[in-house]
Amino acid sequence: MLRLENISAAYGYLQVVWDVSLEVKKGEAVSILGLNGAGKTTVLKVIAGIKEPKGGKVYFDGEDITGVSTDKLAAKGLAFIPEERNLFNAMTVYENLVMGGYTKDKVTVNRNLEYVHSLFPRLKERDKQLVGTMSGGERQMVAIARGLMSNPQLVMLDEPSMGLSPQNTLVVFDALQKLREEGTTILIVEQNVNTTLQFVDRAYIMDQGRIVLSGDSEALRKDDSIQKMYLGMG
Amino acid sequence: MVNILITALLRGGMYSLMAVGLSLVYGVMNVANFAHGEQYMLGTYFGYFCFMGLGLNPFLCFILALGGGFFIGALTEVVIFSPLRKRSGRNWLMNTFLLTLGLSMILKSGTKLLFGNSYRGITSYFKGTVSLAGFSASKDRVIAFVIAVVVIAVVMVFLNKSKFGRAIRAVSMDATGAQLVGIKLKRIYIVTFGLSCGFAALAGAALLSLTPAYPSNGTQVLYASWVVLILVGLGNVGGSIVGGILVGLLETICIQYLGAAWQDVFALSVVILILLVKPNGLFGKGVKSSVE
Repeated sequence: MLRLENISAAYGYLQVVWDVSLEVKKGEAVSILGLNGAGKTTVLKVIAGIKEPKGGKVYFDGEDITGVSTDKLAAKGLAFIPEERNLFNAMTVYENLVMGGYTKDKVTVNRNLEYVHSLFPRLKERDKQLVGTMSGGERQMVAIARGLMSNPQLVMLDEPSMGLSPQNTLVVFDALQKLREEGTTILIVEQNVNTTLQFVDRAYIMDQGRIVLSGDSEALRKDDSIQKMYLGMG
Repeated sequence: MVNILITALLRGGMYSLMAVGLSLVYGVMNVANFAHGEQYMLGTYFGYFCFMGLGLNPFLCFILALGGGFFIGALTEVVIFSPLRKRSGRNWLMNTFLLTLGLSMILKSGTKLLFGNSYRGITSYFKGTVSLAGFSASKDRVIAFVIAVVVIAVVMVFLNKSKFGRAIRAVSMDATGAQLVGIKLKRIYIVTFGLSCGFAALAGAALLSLTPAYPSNGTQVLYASWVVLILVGLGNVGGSIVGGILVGLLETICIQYLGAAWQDVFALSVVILILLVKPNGLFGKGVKSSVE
């Protein structure tokens, strides 16, 4: 479904991603793990067309989408839920969700609204609240729900548990679990290693801009040396 | 007292319309437009040539001015801002300021070159006055005010209720977020700048009997619009409506009690005072948004 070939990326003269190749198959949940500054977010931004790569190719559904502008990807079935959330703060929850279905017709929007409300009942209660006045956890729910409004085939999440209470982290991962069971493909970037490895099928480990390791999450979880070396858990 | 209020309303309506356009452009595109006055100026010429040259119905003149302004605005975005956006990074806002300042000079001098320095005015579009509660105002003034109110109302409904309007607001709040949901920024920018210039041109055409068409007639209007914006907080469209009326009121009070020569001094002094107390403007808030 998603394939990266030798992606490298730089900010000015500073190269932060070197030669990253990875693949996400249909229906899989895959994670990119690594420390702060390892280049994980940059990889996602390259896929989402927010950051132009210095080299390499991105294929989505067999189609070359390298350098395709961000606004075209929603219609193609790719949703990116960034760490910054990028919500519309002075709009209500309802308006944010409707904007999420910008490329869809009214019937689809209403159907999807019902769906995301079933996923996050709290958002239905907060329908008329301005997003700018919500807590971090609620905002993350809005961000995920807004991403799902476009019927994505692939959902990419950047640090969904960032700044959330343990309780809200659970709510978010429960929702992701449901998505998975329904067959949505998920690519997730996280620092929260243990929770993530329990959730995904496979993971890539990044360090200093390169993929240094990859494998089944089961194997990675048992690998002590890896946890110590790259994830700082003694 | 009632007289002052009515005069202020009539005067402020068009300031509101100008400020709404300026505010929209600042909020959505992050452009500090200093050619807004010249877009008003072009509107006065549109009005003059449509009405005196072609002898068209005044309302048709207004619509043509609006359309012409929209076209010029859209063209400005495509030819000037779009290429700049690709190359300008951190200094974007400053660059738009310099660029529009240059554009303002080019438009001013270009008009001077084409039409000379003479005043082209009309005495009135509509003859007669309207009387209300012992107060009378020229029909032109009242109609200009009504136009401003109607256009602002339509814009507010458009921004809040229509899909495209919502998209414009979304871009003003978070451009990246807007792209993520599939909004094409290019179109939003073209329409936004087009609308803003259209409003300025409409204001120019509608007020032709008060300010005749001449190359530098936009300067005063530009200042008034920026005063409104700074007063209510940058990029606040809803606040701009109130702000326009407020500036109208300030000027009217000043003209009444101090004399017309002091109106800029008075308005600017009040702005300085307000900024000393509330640096974000009267309605400035932490949450960034162009429409509230």
